[in-house]
Amino acid sequence: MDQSLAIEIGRGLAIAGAGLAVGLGCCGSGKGIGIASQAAAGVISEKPDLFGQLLVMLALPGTQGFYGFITAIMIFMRTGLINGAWEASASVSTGVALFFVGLAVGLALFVSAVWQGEASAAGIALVARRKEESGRALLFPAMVETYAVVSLLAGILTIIWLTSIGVA
Amino acid sequence: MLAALTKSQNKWGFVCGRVSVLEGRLLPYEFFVNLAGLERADELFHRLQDTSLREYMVPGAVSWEDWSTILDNYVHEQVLSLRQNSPNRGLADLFTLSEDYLNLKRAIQNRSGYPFNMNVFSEARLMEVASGNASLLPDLVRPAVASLSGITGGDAENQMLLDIVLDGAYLRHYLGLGNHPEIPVVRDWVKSRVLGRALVVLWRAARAGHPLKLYQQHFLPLGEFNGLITDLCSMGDPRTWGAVIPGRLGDLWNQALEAEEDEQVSLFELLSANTLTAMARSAKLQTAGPERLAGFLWGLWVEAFNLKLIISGKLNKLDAGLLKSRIRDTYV
Repeated sequence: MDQSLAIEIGRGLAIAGAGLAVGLGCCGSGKGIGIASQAAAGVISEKPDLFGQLLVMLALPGTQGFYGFITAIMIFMRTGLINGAWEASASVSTGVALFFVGLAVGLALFVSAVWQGEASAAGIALVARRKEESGRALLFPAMVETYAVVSLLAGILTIIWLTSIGVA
Repeated sequence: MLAALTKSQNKWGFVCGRVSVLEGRLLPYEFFVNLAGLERADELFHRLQDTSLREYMVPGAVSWEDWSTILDNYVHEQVLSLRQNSPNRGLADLFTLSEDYLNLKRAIQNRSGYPFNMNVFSEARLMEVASGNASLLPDLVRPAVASLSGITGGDAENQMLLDIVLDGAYLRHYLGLGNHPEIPVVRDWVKSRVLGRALVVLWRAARAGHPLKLYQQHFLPLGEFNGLITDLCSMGDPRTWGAVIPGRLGDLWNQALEAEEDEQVSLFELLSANTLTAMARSAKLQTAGPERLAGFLWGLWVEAFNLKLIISGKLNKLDAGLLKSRIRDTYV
């Protein structure tokens, strides 16, 4: 294959992977926050003083969107899109690998954000009945967050390793 | 075996968020036991001021009529408020329907004014019924009401016929409102409630010596229970019904038959209500969904029943032990 064509294909796949990571992460966050928001709005309509306690649980599913964004930025940086050194990801195989890294991270973020929204809604229901349990209620969605962080870290490390091989 | 709760019902999130708060305001069983043990009615009223009922209480409410109205308003306003936020309004209607039928009965009797809270039947519809036009009523009810034309409940026989037809129409309407194949827990719960109510109606009729053949003619149809009710009516003696009543209600029937004769019907009502509450409690495991709302509304209904029982008991100076034995299991 022609070297410049290989670079173009590799670059295109890497950018598509970055797009999937940020797109799926943001979609999941939107859905997760939507789920938690409906429950929180119902609770606040009866007990407005709980807004402070519920706000953190509402915001938690939003982190996946940022993780997707970080993953995308990492791909852009390591493939040279940001600084203009496109050769950094100079092979089709690296591009394919980055595409699947972006897809896998995006899916993990999407699913974890939706379930985090469900866990937040359950925690919100708990706080509605027992205000003093707000600390423990926060733990449930926070446990889900762990796996979003794991997928982000795995994504970052894989991107670094893949592009290091590519550069070498 | 209990049906599974529905999943991914996030459109119910808002109303279930409200329910999460309101559930925390429901009164526990021990509260009612303590109320029943109080010496004087005014102590009871004082105790109720510390509950969510306080917002509905009016100064100088001492008679049964005052308290009955307060409790009806307490339930009705909460049901209607949750109904407005509910994606499926028919569920909330299950818990206001009995008052609607009391108004409908007055309309058929052509009596002036509709003192009970309205929801399913508006005042305009009731006035149409009072003028002899039943065409605005739902299909499930219209034939039954049309069959009553000319009957206004004047003598005892007409009164009985009116009650039979309206009891049947009410249960048929109830069954129709609860017929949600996509919400199996609610569907099963509604069926159990309808069968339980139908059995109580028939048992009371048999004890009062009313001809059960009339019930075959005017109480039915009642969906899948037609065959069972026809069989019971032809069997006559309620002591033999336990053998043909299916499932848990059959067991409860036999259990109730072991009580003293005067207590049997009320014991069956208590046991079947407690079974419904146990079924409804499974909904507390759901974060958002129709079962959660239906479960809470049943809990509210039971709370109002227990309060009415204790208030009327205290006003009539009934024995505390008797009142305690009739308190129904609570949702929380």
